[in-house]
Amino acid sequence: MNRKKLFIGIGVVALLGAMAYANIVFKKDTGIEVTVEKIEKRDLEAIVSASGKIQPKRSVNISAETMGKVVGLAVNEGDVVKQGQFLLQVDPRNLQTAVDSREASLAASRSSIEELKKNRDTVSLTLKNYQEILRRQTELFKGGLVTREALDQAQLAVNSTQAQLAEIAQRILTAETRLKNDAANLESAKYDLNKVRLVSPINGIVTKRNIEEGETVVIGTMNNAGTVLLTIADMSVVEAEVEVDETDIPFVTLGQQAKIKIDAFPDRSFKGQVTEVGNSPIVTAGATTRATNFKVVVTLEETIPDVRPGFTCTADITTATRQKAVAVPIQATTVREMVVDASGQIVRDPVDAGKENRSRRAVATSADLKPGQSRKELEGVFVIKDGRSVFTPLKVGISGDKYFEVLSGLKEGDEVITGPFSSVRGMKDGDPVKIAPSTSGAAKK
Amino acid sequence: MNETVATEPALPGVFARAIGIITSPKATFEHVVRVPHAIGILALIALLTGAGTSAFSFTEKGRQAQLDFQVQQMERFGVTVTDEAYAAMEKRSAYTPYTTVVGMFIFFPIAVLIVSGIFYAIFNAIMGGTAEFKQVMAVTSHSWVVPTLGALFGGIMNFARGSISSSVANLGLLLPMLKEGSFAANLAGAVDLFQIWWVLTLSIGLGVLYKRKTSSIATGLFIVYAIIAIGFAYFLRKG
Repeated sequence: MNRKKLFIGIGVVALLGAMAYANIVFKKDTGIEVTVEKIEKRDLEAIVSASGKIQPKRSVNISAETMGKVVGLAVNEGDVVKQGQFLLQVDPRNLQTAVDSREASLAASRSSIEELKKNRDTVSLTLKNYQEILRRQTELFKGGLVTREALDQAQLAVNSTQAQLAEIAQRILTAETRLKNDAANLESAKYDLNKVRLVSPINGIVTKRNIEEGETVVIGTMNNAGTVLLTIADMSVVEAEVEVDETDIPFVTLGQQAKIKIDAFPDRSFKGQVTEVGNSPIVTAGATTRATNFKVVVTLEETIPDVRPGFTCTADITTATRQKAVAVPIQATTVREMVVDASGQIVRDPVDAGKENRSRRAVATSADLKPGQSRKELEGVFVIKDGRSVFTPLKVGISGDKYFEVLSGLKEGDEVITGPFSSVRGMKDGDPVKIAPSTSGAAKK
Repeated sequence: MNETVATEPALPGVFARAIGIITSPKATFEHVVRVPHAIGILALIALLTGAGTSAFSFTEKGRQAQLDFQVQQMERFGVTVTDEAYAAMEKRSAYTPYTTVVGMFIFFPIAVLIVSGIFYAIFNAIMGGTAEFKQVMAVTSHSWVVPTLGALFGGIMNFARGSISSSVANLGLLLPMLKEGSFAANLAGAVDLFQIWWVLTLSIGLGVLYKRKTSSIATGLFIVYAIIAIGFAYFLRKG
C-alpha cells in the first residue's frame, strides 16, 4: 500500500515537474501575430479611375427642314453610309409646284424686259430721226428759210423722245430688278425642294432612326430631341466621356495617358489621351443627393471595330508616375492619435520588459500631458522593431494601385506590419508582436 | 467488571486534514464523513487560493501582468477593451490583490454550496442516497484542497514566468506543437492536471459518503468534465 502511494506521489511530483518545466521553457510569445512586408523601391503609377460611356467624336443629328410626309427611306439603324448618300425623301409636290410657279414668274419677267428693250430701240430710232430733223431745221432757220416756231417744234419733239427713252430705261431697270428677285425666289424654291431629299453629311453609321416611311415629319428645332429623324455617328474617332470625382479632378490634365476598358470587350483595353477636362460640375436632373463629378473626355488612340456609341467603359487615367520610389503598402498605413512634444516628436514610454502591454499604458497615462505636449493625429505605419510595433509617422506622395510613394519616414528594408486588419485596427505603439510564420520568410527576402 | 466504551476517534486538525486529502484521501474522507465540518477547511482553502492567485500581483511586475492577463481574457471572449476601460482597470489594479483575497472568502462558500447542492440533488434525490447536506458540503470543501494546491503551484509559476496564465498545469503546455487557437490546442489546454486530480479526489470522497464505487462516480464526473472541455475547446477555436 505504501509502495503504491509512493509511486503515485512520485508520478504526481514528476508531472508537476514536467508542468513547471513546460511553463518556463515553452512560454508562449505574448505578441499579436502579424503579417509584414519589407519596404522596397517600386515603379508607381497614380491612377484616377472613372466610368462613363463611349461616344463618337463627331455625331450628326439629321432633322427635317421642311414639313411633309416621308415618301422614301433608304437606311436602317446600323447601316454604314457615305457622305452624300441618300437617306430619306419627304413628299416634294408642294415645293415642286412652288418651283414651277417661280420659274414661270421668272420667264414672264424676262419677257417683259425683252419687250421693253424692243420699245427702247424703237424710241431710240425715233429720237435719231427727230434729232436729224432738228439739225436741218436749225440750218434752215439760220438761212431764214423756216420760222422760229418750226424750229421749236423740232426741238420739242427731240426733248420729248429723249424723256420717253429715259422712262423706258428706268422701266427696264425695274424689270431687271424684278427679274433678279424672281430668280432668287426660284433658287429659294429649288433649295427648299432640295431639302426634302436628305443625304448624309458625313461618313459614318446610322446610330438612331426615329422615323418610318409614311410618317409626317416636322421642322427640327434645337433642344427638341423628338424632331431628330436620324443620327449618324462617325466612329472612326471615338471618345470615352467619363465622370471624374471632384476629389480627383485637380490631378487630371490635358494630354495625360489613359487606359480604357469597355465592358463589351472585357478582355481588351485601349489607349487614349485626355482631350477635354470639364470646368463645370455635371448636374443630374431630379437627383436629390449626388456626388459632384466633372466631365472628362478621353480620345481613343486606336480604332475599335464594332464599337457602338453608348457602350459603358472605365477610364484609368495615369495622373502621375514615379520610377524606383520607396513604396509602402496601402493597407499598412493607418492613423493614430499620438502624444507629441513641442518639437512635434512622438513621446514614447521607455520599453520595459516587465510591461508587456506598454502601448496601453502609454495611452492611459498620456491623459496627463506634460507641459509642451499635445495629442495629434498622425498618418503612419507600424514598423517592427525588437518584437514590438513602433508607430512611425510618414509623408506619402502619389498613390499607386497597391502602394503609396513614401516621401519621408521609411527607408528601404524596413519591415512594416500589413495585417491582419483586425490586429492592425486596434494596434498601438509598442505592442508586442510576432511575425506570422507564413510571412516571416517573405519578410526576410 | 470493567466496561469498555467505544469512542469515535477525534477529527484531525484542519492542516492535517488538508494534507490527508493529498496523501490519504480515502481515510481522510472517512473522518470527514463521520464528523462533517466544513468551515475551517473553507477558510484555509480561501486563504491559500487567495494567496496563490494574488501573491504575484502584489509586485509591480505582477500587477502589470495581471492587467495584461485580464485584457487578454476579455479580448479572448470577444470584448473590446477601450483605452478608457483600460485606464479604469489600471486604476483598480492596485487594489486587485486585496480584493482577490477577500473575494475568495466570498466565492468559496458560495461555490461549495452550489456544487454540494448539485451532488446532493443527484445522489440523494435521484439516486436514493441518505447522506446529510452538511456531509456533502464537508466532502466537497475538503476535495477543494486539490485545486488550492493548483493555485499555489500557479502562484509559484507566475513568479517563475514573470507573467500570469489561466492555467499552469494543463495538457496543452506539454504539447506546444499544436496550432494556437485550434480545437486540439484548446482541448489540450482545457485538460488540467489539478482538475483531473480534483475529480478523482471528489469521486473518492463521494464514494466514501454514499458507499459507492469510486470508479463509477469518477467515470460520471469525467464524462461531464470531458463534455465541458470539448465545449470550451469548440467555443474558443479559431479557423
